[in-house]
Amino acid sequence: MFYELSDEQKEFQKKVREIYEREVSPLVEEYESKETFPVQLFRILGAEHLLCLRCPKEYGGPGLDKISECISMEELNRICAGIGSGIMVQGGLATDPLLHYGSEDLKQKYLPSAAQGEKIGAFALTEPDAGSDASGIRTTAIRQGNGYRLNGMKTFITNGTICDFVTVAAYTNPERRGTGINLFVVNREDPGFSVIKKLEKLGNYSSDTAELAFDDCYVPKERMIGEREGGGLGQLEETLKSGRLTYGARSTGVGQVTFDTILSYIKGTQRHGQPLARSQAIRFMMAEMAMSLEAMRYMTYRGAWLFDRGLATMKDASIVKLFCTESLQRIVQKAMAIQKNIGLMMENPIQRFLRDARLFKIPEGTSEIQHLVIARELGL
Amino acid sequence: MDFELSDEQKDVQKAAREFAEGEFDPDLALELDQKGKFPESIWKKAAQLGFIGIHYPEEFGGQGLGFFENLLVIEAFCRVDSGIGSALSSVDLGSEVILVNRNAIMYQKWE
Repeated sequence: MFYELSDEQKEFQKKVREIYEREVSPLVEEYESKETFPVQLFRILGAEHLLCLRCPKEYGGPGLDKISECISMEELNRICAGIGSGIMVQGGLATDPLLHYGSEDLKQKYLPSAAQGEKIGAFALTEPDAGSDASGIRTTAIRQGNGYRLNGMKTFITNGTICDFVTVAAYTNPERRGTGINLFVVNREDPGFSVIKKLEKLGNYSSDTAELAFDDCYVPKERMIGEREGGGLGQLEETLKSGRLTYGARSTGVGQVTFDTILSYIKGTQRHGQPLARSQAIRFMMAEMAMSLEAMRYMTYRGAWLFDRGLATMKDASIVKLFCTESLQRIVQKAMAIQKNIGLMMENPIQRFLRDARLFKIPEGTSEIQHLVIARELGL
Repeated sequence: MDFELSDEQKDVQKAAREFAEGEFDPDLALELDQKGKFPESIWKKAAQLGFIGIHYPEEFGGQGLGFFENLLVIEAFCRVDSGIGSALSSVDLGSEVILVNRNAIMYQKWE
């Protein structure tokens, strides 16, 4: 056993931290208050090879592993979870199914431009009436000539208003519930595709979230991911596993910045004529936070390590997401309890960390769903 | 990063498990627990087999393995019986203090 990052990984961590502090930090306040994503970042981070980290070199990516992706996501979310959200989708849900199951042509067409930040990707599975129950989606893709006609609505789609392409789940065979689904790549300019509205959220203000419509949207069959009709949900297995592990890294990043912020607040604050750090209640809370962070980090990187060896099960990934996102709730709640009124003020960051953290419990499988997945894989 | 046990660590874990499963008789464990007695005979066997002080340098009668291996042994023991496991895992606490501070005067005295 060897729990430490290698020299190479430490070097990478240092590099990404510098890049994110230089390129992302100055944008946070402005874009959080505008509730828009700083799209210029795609080109900037693309040039630094920090989008699509696991994309192989032959498709324009740096060809790194899951551990590196977690390092990058932890550092980015330490600075801004909203921006982290848009970047995560680019290298995860939007492009992973293409990477694993796309034809050579599709990969050549979409991956290099996504990895370089020339094109922004989104992923559309969730619908107004189908979230956790993916097989309940109603969007259809009915065969017509040399392609498919898509009809349906998608919601809560990250990068929805800014995307150049979107990977969409739709039923090619609505009779086969769950198994009759395929994934398609839809371009922004495809007739019939439209952004209905931009959505406002509780947290991750700087990530872009939208409701999308597909109205007789024609997609040539070459843009279906995979060769055969059906099995689209199965193609998401590895993508979801990977995404759930990324939530471990995101939670660790937000947890770390919350911890650092509140630690420096405590060290610089006096209450009732005593340094705050002398209060036993405060010391207990800080000890709990430090303990949670350690456990979150080890669990995340062990999950990533397993993933890189092809050994991670969905149970491993769900345990990481559930444990880390739930531990993060306690960290931000404690920080708020320590800072009290000051923490509530919008000019201070603790309220943002608390809002961002709450959001993490929901996408890519809610905490409740993670419990069910874990129990199922326990054979219950 | 490497989260896997090495072959040697797996061997240590397996040996400790087998020892605990073979030696920690449930009836004896219950009796020791009720009487509040130390598992003397099991302790001696465990020591002979090298489980006690497994992390001590060989020159001091240990196996020269790491504290990590010691934890594997304690986990394996306590999984079978926490009373016996705790007793066996704490017998070396006193000597460990001497080991850790072996450059200090204490060491000279107890050498």
